[in-house]
Amino acid sequence: MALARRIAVAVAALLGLALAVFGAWFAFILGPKGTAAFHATSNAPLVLGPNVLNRVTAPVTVTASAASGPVFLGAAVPQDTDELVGQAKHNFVASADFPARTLTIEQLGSSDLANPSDSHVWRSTGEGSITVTQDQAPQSILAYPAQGGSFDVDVTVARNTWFLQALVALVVGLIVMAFAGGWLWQNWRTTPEDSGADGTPAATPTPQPEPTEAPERAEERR
Amino acid sequence: MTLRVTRRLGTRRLGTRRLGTRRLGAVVGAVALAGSLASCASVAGISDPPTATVGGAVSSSRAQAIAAQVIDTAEKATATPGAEGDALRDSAFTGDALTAAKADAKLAGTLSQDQKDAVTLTPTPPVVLAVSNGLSYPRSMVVQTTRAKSGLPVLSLLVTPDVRTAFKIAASAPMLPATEVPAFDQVTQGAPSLGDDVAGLAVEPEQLVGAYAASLAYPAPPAADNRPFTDDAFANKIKAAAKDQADKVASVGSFTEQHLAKDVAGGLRLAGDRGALAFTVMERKDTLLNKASGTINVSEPFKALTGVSSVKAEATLDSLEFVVFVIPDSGQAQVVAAQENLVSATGT
Repeated sequence: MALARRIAVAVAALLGLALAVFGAWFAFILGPKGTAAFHATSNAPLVLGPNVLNRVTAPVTVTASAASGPVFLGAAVPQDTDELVGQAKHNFVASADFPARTLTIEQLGSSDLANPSDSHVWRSTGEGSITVTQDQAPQSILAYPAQGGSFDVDVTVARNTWFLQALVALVVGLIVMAFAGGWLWQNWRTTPEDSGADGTPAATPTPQPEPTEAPERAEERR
Repeated sequence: MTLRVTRRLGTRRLGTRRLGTRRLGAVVGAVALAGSLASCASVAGISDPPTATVGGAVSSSRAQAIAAQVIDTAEKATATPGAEGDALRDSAFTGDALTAAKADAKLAGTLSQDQKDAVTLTPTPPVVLAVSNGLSYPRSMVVQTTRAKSGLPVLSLLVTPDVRTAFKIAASAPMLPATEVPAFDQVTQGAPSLGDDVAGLAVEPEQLVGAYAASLAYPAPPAADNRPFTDDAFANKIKAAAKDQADKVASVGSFTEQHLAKDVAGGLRLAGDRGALAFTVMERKDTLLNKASGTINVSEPFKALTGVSSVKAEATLDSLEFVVFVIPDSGQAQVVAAQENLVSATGT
């Protein structure tokens, strides 16, 4: 039984260590504002869907820059964006990968996409940067470089809670690791009480303290 | 060493109850830790994106920007003749409103400065009263502007038939005195479109505009009981103008006026399911028969449209009438805005 307990405590210590490392790492990556950032380079107009924009209850900012010139950014309901883009050549973000902090891009369509900046489907527009809130989710964003060519896209979402959660994970992990490690240290050289092959405790005699008498009583006997 | 033994003895003396509690705590802790790691995504506030879109088809601020852009283009179109003006009209108007705008451009030269000033809008940005909800097309919004000289509000219906077409004015008319438009749902919430489903309306829009058009016929409108609309200033003005015109030509000919329902351009439901605001279009045909041997001098607009300065036998004038109704859930509908536009004419 004591062996099983030691194993369990050792596992707890390892989990605590993992939790502490996990918390410290995330706290370092996210920073005090809890900012997660993702990056990609697209060689065609890029659609960012609700699978990227509407996963957390926090504003999401998309910035885009191209060497060729300004990049139009428009946010609309996903159905409108999909219909507007249609079969024109474009990329879409399949997933945002963390902690790699990259956007996985896939390509669709073949024809040229007409400049969509004058369309009335956009709920909001921006040049180079746009921020969407979650009150009108689901939404999609189309990034369209006016002069064509490749462009860089960054998606950032800031959630303070993430940093606090990372700190909590760090502290809890350290506490668990400290207690478990201390217990293991104290019991490291102690002989395990379990000796039965079947796992039942051995019938070891209980050490009894030697009987002693009060000094006054002994003096009286004399 | 003694201390360690003593502690062990003390632990054993606590009995199975405390040992069970400790085991239970360990199990709960392990489960909680495992659960926390397993549900890491939910703990981090990450969830699947919502699938349903609620509210207006366009956001409030975007609707405002679109309305301002369209109204501004329409204003520029009114003041711009020729091909450049036609391009502006094509981008600001659609359907019967485009027909009327093109005719207005032809007639612009016949208007006095007072007449031009009368239709000029204030520079105040338009007010978006309502936006259709949902994602289906056509989408629409109701916009209010104000005429600078008279202060009369002007109601415009902006529609877009599909995702690739911009919002354009499909109907527009100044409000009549002593009328008001009941409230719509908030723009952010969106208002249901006046589509094929006419449930909850006192009268179907097509039936309403048909009955209203018939009632304006001159000289003898058909008798009708239980009219689905109330009397209004626009109808009174049309009837009075027809009588006046007929009186002027009575000695040399006859004058008749026929109104026909043409279209329901669209509309939106009012808040609280209390009815709808419907933008309708009617065609009006004025016919002047010359029964005398001489000629009848015609108006400047007639000349501008036909190039004819007098008619010997017959003159016809075709107009489009944009009539905006408030259709309640019960009772009679009311005309709250109306405008007529002369669009074509013929003369012999």
